[in-house]
Amino acid sequence: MDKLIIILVMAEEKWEEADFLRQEIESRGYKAVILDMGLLGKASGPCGITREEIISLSGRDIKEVALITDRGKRMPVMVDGAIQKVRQLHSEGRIGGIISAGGTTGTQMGTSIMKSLPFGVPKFAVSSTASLPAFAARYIGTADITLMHSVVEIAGLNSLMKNVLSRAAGAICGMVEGSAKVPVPLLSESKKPLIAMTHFGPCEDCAVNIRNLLEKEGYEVIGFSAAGIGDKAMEDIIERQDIFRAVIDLCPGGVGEELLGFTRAAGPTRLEAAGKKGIPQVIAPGAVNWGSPLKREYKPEYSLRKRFDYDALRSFLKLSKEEMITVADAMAAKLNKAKGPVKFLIPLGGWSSLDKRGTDYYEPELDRAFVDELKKKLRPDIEVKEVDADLETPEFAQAMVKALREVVTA
Amino acid sequence: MRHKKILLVGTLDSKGREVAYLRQRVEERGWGVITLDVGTLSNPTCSADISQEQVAKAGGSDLVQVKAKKDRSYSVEIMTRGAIKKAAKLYSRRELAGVLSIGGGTGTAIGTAVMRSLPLGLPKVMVSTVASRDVSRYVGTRDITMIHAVVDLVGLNSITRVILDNAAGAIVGMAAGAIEVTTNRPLIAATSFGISSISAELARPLLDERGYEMITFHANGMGGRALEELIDQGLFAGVLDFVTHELADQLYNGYCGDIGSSRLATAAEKGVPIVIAPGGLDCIVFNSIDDVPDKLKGRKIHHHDIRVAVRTSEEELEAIAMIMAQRLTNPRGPVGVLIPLHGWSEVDKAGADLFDPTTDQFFVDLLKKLLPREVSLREVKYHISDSEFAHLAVEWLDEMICCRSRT
Repeated sequence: MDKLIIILVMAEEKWEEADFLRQEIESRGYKAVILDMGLLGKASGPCGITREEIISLSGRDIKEVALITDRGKRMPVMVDGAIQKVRQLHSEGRIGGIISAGGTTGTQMGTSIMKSLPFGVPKFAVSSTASLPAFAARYIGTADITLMHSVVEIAGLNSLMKNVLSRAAGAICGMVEGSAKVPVPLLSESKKPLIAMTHFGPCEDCAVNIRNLLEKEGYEVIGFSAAGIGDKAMEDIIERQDIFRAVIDLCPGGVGEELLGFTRAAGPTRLEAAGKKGIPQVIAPGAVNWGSPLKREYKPEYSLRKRFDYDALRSFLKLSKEEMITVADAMAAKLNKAKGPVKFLIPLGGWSSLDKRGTDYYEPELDRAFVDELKKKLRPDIEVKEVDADLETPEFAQAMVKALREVVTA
Repeated sequence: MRHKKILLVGTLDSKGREVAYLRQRVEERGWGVITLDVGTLSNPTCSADISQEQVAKAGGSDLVQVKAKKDRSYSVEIMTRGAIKKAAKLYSRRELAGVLSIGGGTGTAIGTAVMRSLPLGLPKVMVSTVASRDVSRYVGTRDITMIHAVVDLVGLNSITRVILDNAAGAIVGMAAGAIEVTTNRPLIAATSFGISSISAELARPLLDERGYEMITFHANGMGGRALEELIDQGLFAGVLDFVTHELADQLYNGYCGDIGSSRLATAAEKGVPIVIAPGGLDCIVFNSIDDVPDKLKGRKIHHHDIRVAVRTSEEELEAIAMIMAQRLTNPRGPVGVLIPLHGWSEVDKAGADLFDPTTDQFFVDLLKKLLPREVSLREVKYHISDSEFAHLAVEWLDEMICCRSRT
């Protein structure tokens, strides 16, 4: 195996641990190299990729950087430089995997560097702060990063530390071996075209129906949970890697959640990546008429809205007419920038299993406000197709699949 | 085939295809697999070595009853309990090489509960769709590795296969040739924290000379909890609790806020010799200046990075002294409190932002009154980061341990 496993570490503090990791990795037949992302002092042992090289790759003057004594200000310099380095190695096909070991600062920097590599390159962080509330979300974000809690402080090679690092070395080697066996397919190489689709609990029947139909037609469907991280991950992957033939954005509610400051917010660029890359897309408003604000942030006027308690943790509120118009407006603006074909399908009988026609939650006049605004604002060549069924019916799924066929061949 | 196997936990009704794939990928790497089914919604879609029925029974119920109840939280509770029992049995027979699990929210809750019930050092890998959130309740104080699934785990496809292959590789890599936690030297636990980490660094070579091995815990809330749990498991011959800072943060739910109620108490309860110092009790740390409560505004403050340290007052130190004294009542082993009179952290020393010897002394005088008779308190004219202080702490602990082993 001639590919490298990169070890990201602050070598003024944790060189000894990094070198142990290196030996553990090499004893398993892989090559490893320490990349020093150190901030202060100097490396306490030899590093295959030195901090001087990293600083020079960051484009900054090494003497100037030496004068920065504030750790916080050194961090972006080292992260930038290391990203240059690992991207360069990756483009030469030399990276097998990447691993970091550290506390808060080391893991923050290490995972930022890992995020610059595409989905599928094994990424592993051993961290003493993996389990702190909210830290995992910050470290992992939307990436395929594996996070191992070291339990003990990464300070000194004691017998617990050696056990943890040895397992980490085994894991990254096992992952590198795994990713060599089952690589991420490129669009140009895959036998079955891949379709990305967003999922959300109240729209699950529709997702299952669409999946079954598409699999029969020889597609493979990759699901992303529209809870604010999975859907954002989908956007990131579309933007950076050519994997998907088309996108079925069944549940683009993350757009409204972002605008309204709710919990499933999926970032300011949600619903844009496919358009930017010119990938064909079919959109439905799955559960877009429901919002998920934090309960402790409920406004007094929310008591007037229809509310659905989905499970012990999650309650949804119907959006107001004004909010529906705001969301339609934002979606139209995003889709109008699309370089590829787009179709928007509207189920007239309700937008999720919660608000089907015949239930108390069915409010067609609110749905209509959205549709009217959407039609008014969308580019004329983007078709808005109304289907007289609810979203969870087989008819609607069939209409979605038919629209997909049309955009893919357009 | 090896004697030890990988335990694979999952809901085989909804994740059967993924579990079957994982099993195959682990077996191809030369390891046996035991599948354990914690699903209750419908029939499994792949074969289980330990079935839904067996798990429900081990959990103290039976599957028919669990299904009839149609109560999600009840079935999760029963299946979790049953899975933990089954895993414990396999572990005690030395049949486990590691635990691998896969799931969404519910599957992650069950899978990690099984992992948390097994000892430190056994490989634990959880493939989860909810890995990129607050995982503190899943991972807690344990050595669990979380693999972010990124995509939804519905159906096998080219993307889920990549993730599942990574997981199979990771668990096998971890299980194969991992260095076991064995040591000939008695282990000493020490606590350390950014602004009060020098004492632990200085203590390490001193302990080495005396034939001990030191394990450091980052006193950041979770680290302190892990320390208490591992003391409870009997891993340590002694404890150098240099940094008790978490007690200060807990008062205002600061950076190291959620520390549980056993912090500082376990060693005394178990009779493990312990030397305690007031490292970092000079301040309460917050994630940012915006998190500082109004009540504390106007105090002396130190800017660490974006985090800020606010000086503790007599009021907080009184509360801390009371908590300490209460947690150290009726100790079963030797407990010593070693107070450095020249400051408790890098920001509490002559010339530094939070230096305030008068307030520090107030705490010491009060603590002397409150501590139970069995606990001795020594004051020394050093700063906590002085090498003399580390020497005295190590010497004291060594004495305690040697005296014990002689009696």
